[in-house]
Amino acid sequence: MKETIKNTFKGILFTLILLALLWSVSWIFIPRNNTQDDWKYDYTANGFLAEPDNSLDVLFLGDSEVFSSINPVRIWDSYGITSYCCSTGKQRLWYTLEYLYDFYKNQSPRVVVLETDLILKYFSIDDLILHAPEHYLPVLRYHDRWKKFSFDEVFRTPQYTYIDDYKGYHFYSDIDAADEEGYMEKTDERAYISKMNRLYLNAILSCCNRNGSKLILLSTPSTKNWNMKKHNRTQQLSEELGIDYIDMNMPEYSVDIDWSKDTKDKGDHLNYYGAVKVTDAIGEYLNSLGILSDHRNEKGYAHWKDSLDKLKSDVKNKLKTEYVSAETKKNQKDKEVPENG
Amino acid sequence: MDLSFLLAGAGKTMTSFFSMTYLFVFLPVCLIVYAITPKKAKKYVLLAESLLFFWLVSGVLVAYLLLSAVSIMCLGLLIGKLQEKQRAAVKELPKEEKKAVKQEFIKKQRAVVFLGVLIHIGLLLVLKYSGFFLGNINTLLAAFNCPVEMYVPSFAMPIGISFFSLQALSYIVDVYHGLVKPDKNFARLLLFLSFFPQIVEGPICRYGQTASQLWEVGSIKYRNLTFGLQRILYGMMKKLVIADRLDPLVKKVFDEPNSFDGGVIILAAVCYTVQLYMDFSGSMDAVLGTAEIFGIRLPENFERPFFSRSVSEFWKRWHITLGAWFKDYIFFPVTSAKRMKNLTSSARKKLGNHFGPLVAGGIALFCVWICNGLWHGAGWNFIFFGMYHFVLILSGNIITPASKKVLQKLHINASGLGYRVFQIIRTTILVIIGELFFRANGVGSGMELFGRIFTDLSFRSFDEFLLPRLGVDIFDLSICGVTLLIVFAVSIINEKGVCIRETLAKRNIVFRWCVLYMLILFIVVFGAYSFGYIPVDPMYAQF
Repeated sequence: MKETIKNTFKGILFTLILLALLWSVSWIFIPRNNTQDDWKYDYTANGFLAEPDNSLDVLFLGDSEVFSSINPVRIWDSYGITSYCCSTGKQRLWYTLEYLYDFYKNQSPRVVVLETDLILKYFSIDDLILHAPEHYLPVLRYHDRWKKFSFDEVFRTPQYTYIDDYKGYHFYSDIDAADEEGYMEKTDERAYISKMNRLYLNAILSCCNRNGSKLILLSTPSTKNWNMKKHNRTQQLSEELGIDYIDMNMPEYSVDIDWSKDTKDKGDHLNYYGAVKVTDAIGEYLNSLGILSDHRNEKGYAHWKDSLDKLKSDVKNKLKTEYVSAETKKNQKDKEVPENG
Repeated sequence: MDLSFLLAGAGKTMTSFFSMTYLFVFLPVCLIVYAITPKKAKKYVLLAESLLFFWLVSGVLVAYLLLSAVSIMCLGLLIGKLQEKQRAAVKELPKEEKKAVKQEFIKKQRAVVFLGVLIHIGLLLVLKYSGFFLGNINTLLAAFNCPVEMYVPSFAMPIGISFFSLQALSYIVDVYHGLVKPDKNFARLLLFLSFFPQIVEGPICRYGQTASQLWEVGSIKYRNLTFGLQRILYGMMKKLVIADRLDPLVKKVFDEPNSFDGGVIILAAVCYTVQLYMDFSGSMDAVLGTAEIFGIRLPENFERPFFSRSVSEFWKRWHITLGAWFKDYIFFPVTSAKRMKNLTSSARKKLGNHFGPLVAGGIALFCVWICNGLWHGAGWNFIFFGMYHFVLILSGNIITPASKKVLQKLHINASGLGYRVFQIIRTTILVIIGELFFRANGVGSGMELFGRIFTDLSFRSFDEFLLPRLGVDIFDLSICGVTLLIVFAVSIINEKGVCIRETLAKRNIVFRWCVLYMLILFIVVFGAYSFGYIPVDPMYAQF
């Protein structure tokens, strides 16, 4: 018995020293900046770290559907609302929650928009066990930075300098038409949501409530990733949780996606043309909430104008066309209506 | 309530013994439950944990395991009954009649063994090979413009069927040979088949080796716990730091056989051989380490194979338990068959004492290697892999006298270090060529890759763009190199008969813990996991 107690004590001591060691070496591996060079993965999503404190009013969370569909610079251009896309490829809810926590450290978003593609996406317990401790022991996430190790860095505190011009949006100019067959075919069935996903969704909602943010669920158009079963489940979830839900795959939102030219990869993601439509719709919705300010003429937001200039120049160079603002587009449409009518 | 998980199993990622769920949930919970269970009930807990593990990774397919256990128990008891009857029947008989009666009973026992083979090999043939065979028949029919096309079925296969089927068969044959007594205890037999650390990737154990050990398990001892965990850590280093890090490079080259020149193909073939060894032997370290925690000694599957001086020796050091199984249950039965014995004696007269036995031995060797190839997978490249080794081993046996003479004439000392190193390098090259075909996506692709080594042997691709194209960088290759040196050093020490864990255990606690912390930190920092890496399934689990 004495031996067992002694060995148990040894085991506990060994584990505690190990945890302390891992915690200590974590410091060496934490990225010292949020540039692409320092932050190998998802650096655009982490661009918010360099944004001025409390300057972002809307946070978009989600997987690649977000960074291909929502252009915060265009929303700024239309309404002066500042937003950011913390979206990463194949993002899962555990990672979304981490972004949310990190975002609240320096920002106070009034609205958090959660793209629903990831809500129903399965993630394994393996993922959870691997990634959950990363928050406390960053070496587990950033261990691969040994490839960039330098002694100078060890004594340097992190300083974030990279501001993403597009605020997390990815500009895609390719066109690859989608096959719409079976897209949003009517059914009463509901897609499955795991208990784990449900738990995380609740945690995201609680976090938003604690910080006074309004949580909104958004389904961006995608023939490959979205269907009626998923819509039905998300609709039910939104009702249960008492939060707004916008499904831009449904006809009532009249986003008018042209699947022959608004997608970059056969309906999986939208390209710039599709993103313009979604962005204008979500921008209009956000503006209609009446809780978000127009920062266009405020001091400290000059870099947003630079971003808009870059967007205009990229549209011109990559698409060989002029940038059309939401307002101009609307005016053009308004003119077309009586003529056509 | 959705109960589909009951059919599907709820822990498919646990097929890897380095998966987080296995290492940090399943194994610790199993050990705690096992530790707090009274001694008498420990074996039942171990069985329950094993079945739970199998259900988690295979779901409802656990039924195959149960079917296998039930069948070998019944057949084993039947053989035992026949043996008892045989003993009773021949007891009173005169000597001349004994033989005939004995033969009669042996015939019956053989029929029972045949039934066991039919159940297990038949099941394997249907589940694993029917698609391959029927697909080939369809190709053949199409080649002769035959309008008939056979339906090619596809079955869900339980994890580890290739492993536990061989264990089950060995039990029946061992009972038949009187090496083990037929077991009346179904739980013991089931535990022998299903012991959770070994069910996914082996080793392929014999009933005599593990059944009683498993049934007489005791408390977890501190020494076993630390030794077992140390071995798991060492295996984890092999798998995470080397095998998984090389995966993108190997995948890229083998999936695009036309895109690279001979130099890159050689690099990929070497990397794949290293990857396979580190993956499989690393997993074996985890298996044997886990078993060691419970105080169970499973047979080793690797004995430093890359120190082998011939291909034949290589296969005595690589996947030892599979090689031993084929030797005991295919090679020996074939060579000891009456017709083969006759063939050997007549061949000996005509061809001499060296070449004579090689005729029957060659036939048996052919059977072994066709089975070995097919065991690894239903594909022509696996058959080619088997035949490649058959030819190498047989020709090695044939040329032995001639090579001895050549060595004598050239005054080369066969036991000298220089010649030994030459043999080791030669064997390694031959093994790497075999592994190239083993990994290739079909024989055609293997031929294409192998051909390019000769027709397009240049190193023009080795520029600054090559490594990014292969999904790795110079740091990846460097850390693999450093870790391989560690494995090499450990292998040399083990080859000399020194057990590093024993040596470490004799040192003071500070030194011991420092070594362990260094190993853990090494894995944590240099392992290929988390962001930027896709988890790689254990390579032998798919066989």
